Amino acid sequence: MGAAIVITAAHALTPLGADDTFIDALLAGRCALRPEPALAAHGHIARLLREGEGATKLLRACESWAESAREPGLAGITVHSTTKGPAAGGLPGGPAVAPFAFGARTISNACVSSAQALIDGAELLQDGRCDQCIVIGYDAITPFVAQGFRSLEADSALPARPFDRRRDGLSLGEAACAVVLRRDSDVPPARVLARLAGWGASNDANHISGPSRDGAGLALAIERALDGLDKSRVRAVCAHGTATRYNDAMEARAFHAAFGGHPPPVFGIKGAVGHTLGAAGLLEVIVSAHALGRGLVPPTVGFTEGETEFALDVIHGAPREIQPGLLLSTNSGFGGMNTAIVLETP
Amino acid sequence: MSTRLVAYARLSAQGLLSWSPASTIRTSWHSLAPEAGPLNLKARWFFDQPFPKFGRMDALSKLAMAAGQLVYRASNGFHGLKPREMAQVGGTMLGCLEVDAQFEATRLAGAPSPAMFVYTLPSMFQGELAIHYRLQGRCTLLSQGKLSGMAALDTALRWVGKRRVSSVLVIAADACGPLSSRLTGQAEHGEAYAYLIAGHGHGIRVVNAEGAEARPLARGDSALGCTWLDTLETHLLQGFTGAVKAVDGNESVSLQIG
Repeated sequence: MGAAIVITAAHALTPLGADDTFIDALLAGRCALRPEPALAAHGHIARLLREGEGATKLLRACESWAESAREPGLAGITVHSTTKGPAAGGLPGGPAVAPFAFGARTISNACVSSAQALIDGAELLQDGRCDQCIVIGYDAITPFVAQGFRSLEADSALPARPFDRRRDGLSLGEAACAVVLRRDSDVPPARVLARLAGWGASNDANHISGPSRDGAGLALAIERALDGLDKSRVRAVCAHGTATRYNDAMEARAFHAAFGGHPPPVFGIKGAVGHTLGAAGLLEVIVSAHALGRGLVPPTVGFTEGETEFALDVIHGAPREIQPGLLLSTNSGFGGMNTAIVLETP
Repeated sequence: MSTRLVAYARLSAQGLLSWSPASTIRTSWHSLAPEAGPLNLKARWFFDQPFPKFGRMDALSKLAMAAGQLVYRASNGFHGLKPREMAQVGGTMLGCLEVDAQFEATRLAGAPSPAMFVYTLPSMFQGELAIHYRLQGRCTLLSQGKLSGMAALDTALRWVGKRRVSSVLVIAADACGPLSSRLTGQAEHGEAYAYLIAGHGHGIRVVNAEGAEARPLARGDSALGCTWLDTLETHLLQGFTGAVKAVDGNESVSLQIG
């Protein structure tokens, strides 16, 4: 591990509101999922955009925030992420990254895109490539995406129910989010929202679109992220929790494997704001940072009753207080991609 | 840590090439089949065992898999490396645009194809490579315009140089088929470059060279996200020693060879 990296500012734009309003809504157990027959003809979607608006609006919102949040005079790099990967150099079919104060790179790794972008940004800082790094994650739901997931029969007709025994598929959502990363040694402690205590990534090497059955790939990513850290200090896990039968079962097995059969309490936000695809990883890191900061973990909207085959303490019904310590955020995506990011109370 | 290129492969309109410290093998497309080309690949030209899934992949994944197999052979089956720890870095400019258009056509026809939808993510070729060679290391895919391939190489060199991983398979590829050709105005073509980078073993020493005085690479025949990679190949394989850089507008990527 190189220099310690911290989050000094964060922005989240979701169908449940922005920033503190969004976090308050999560803590209150609110749900933004609604029927969207025009898009999906099947499931519920948490929409942020109006008819006729596209992903460019989400990207521009993040870029505007980043312009105001960045530190003038410091060298920086912007790392963008979406599942579709519009190129910094301009890719037909996706929004081009605007001329911006910083050099830009775009990372596209399916549903771990923005988690991988955060890791990339942290390492660019560690390697001295910049003094600050802005990481942006966003994704919009189009008929292309909604009907693609329908074709795979991955979506539910009902709002997603992560880790619930009756779960039967995901709900999609739109979000845009961004963070500013700095080296811990470069900023006063009062400005730190959360410290990145560790990160890891892996590939299942198992199936192109389905999660592995045994969770070994995700467990490997978690082990890499927690290398050198005291696992007993992990207060909770912000799980990917898509609410598909196989994903949630895979995650449960991975958590048991990584924590010696005694995983920490688990929560997920996709029952509230849907699966925000390329934005999901970063959005969940921001939620986790707020959870550590407030000492309060939001309930898992949509969860009522757990599986008997994998015993997990799923936080639901009401927020739960946590002590200062570590919080783990995990994501998985098509292509067998897994990421695990550990946050620490500043 | 000193990082090394231990094996290399390329598929482009100019033909196929695979390199290791022990040998360089050049193959013409015509020697494979009269109809062979970067956008018309058959599994049997590259793989010893039947590989029916290859035929169902999108053009980008086929290019990446073929390049991956060439570099796998050149390295004697990733000899001396640990697949469980081998990472992947990809670079592409067009990404999955070709299969995006194909999937959209099925959707508009009222029967969206799940088999195509799976490939409408630019990083899917990394998943295929991971499955085929049991690679369980970290993966990232960069789309940085014409610098995509060079940036992927630069990232892999940082990962190994900083000891985050012990080896990286880098694939830079673009598939510009009939649909994406119409959208981009580029001529139809495909190319893929595979680099096996490791922190040990025999090979050409290559390291990051940010800020160094560097010789600008000329733009050769490579295009899109692989721009500069054919001229980089010439420098790598003809014994050049020194720093080179690819410049695109205000951005550049520099590498030190030797």
